[in-house]
Amino acid sequence: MLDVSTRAAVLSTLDGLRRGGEMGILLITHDPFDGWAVCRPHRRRGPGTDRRAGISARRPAPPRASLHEGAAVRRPTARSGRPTRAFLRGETSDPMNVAAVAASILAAERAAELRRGRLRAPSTRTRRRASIALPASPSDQDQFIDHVGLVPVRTARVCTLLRMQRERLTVSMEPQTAARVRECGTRTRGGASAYLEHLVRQDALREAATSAASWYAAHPTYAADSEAETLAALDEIA
Amino acid sequence: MRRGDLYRYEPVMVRAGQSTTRLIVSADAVNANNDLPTVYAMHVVDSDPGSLLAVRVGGFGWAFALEIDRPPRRRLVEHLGRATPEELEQVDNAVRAVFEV
Repeated sequence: MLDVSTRAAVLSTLDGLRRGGEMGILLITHDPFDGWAVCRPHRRRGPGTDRRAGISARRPAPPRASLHEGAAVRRPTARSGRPTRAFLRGETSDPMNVAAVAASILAAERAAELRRGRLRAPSTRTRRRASIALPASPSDQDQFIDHVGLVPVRTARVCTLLRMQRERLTVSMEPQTAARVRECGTRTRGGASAYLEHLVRQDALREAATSAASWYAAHPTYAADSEAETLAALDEIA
Repeated sequence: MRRGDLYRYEPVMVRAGQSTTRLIVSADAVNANNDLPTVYAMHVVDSDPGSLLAVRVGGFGWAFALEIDRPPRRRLVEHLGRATPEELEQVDNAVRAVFEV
C-alpha cells in the first residue's frame, strides 16, 4: 500500500489526465470485483453551463429514458463556486454481470438522492425508466455509461476491463526462487505477477506445441499437402 | 461471408486426410470486400491437435491455429455453420498464442 501523499499524487495525476483528455477513468483492482465506487462531478441544470464539471457538462443531455431525475441536480456550492462531487459506493451480488453492477449503482444513486430529499419516491413510471437505463442491450449500456459519468469509456471497453480481472493467488517457494521472481519482476512491465504469468503462458504454449508436433507426426503429409493445395489454388487466381 | 463462419472448401486436388472445412478468421472488413480474391481461414481438422492451439468448433472438428491459409473465395463453396462467440474467443486466444500478440 502506498502512503497517503503518494496515493494523492497518483489520483491527482489521473484526474489531470481525465480532465485534459476529456475522458472517464474506471479503476478496477486486481482483486475480484465485488464492489464498486463512482465519483463524478455534479452537473448544473442545462447544457454547457459549467466547464469545471468536465465532460459531463458538455455532452448532450441524456435521453428521457435514462433515469434523468437521478442525474446531478446539486448546484455548485456558493462558497467555492465549484461543483461538488457525488461519491457512492456499494456491492453487487453478481460482480461478473455488468447489468447487475449497473443496477446496484443506479439503486444507490436513487437512494442517495432520496435521502437528500432531492428526489420523490419512485413511481411506477420512473421505475420503468430506470429499467430501460440498465445495460441489457448495447444502446442501453451506452446510456448507462453516459449517465453514470464514466464517459467516454465505452461499455465495450468496460466489459473488456471486467474480463481482464486478475485472480489473487498465494504461492510458496524457496527464498532464492522468491528473490529471483522479485528481481525479474522489477525488470518486467507489470511486475512479478506479469513475469510469472509470462512464464506460465510460455510453458502452456510449449506443451501445446509438443502436442501439435505429435499430431503432425501422426499426419506426416498434412503440412506438405496443405501447402501444395494452397499454391495450386492461388495459381488459379494469379 | 463473416468472421466465424464455417465453409466447405473445394480443393484443387483431393488428397486423403486433408481437411475441407475452413473457419474464416480474417476481419470482416476484409471478408466483405469481394474485390479481394482471398480470405484467411483456419483448417478445421477431425482430430484434436493440442489443447491450446486447437479449438473444438461444434461438431465440425478442431480449428487448428497452426494451419491458417488464404483460400480463394470461389473455393469456399458451401456455408456449413457458424462458431459460437465463446469458440471464437478461444480461437482469438489461440491466434494470439501462436503469434505472441
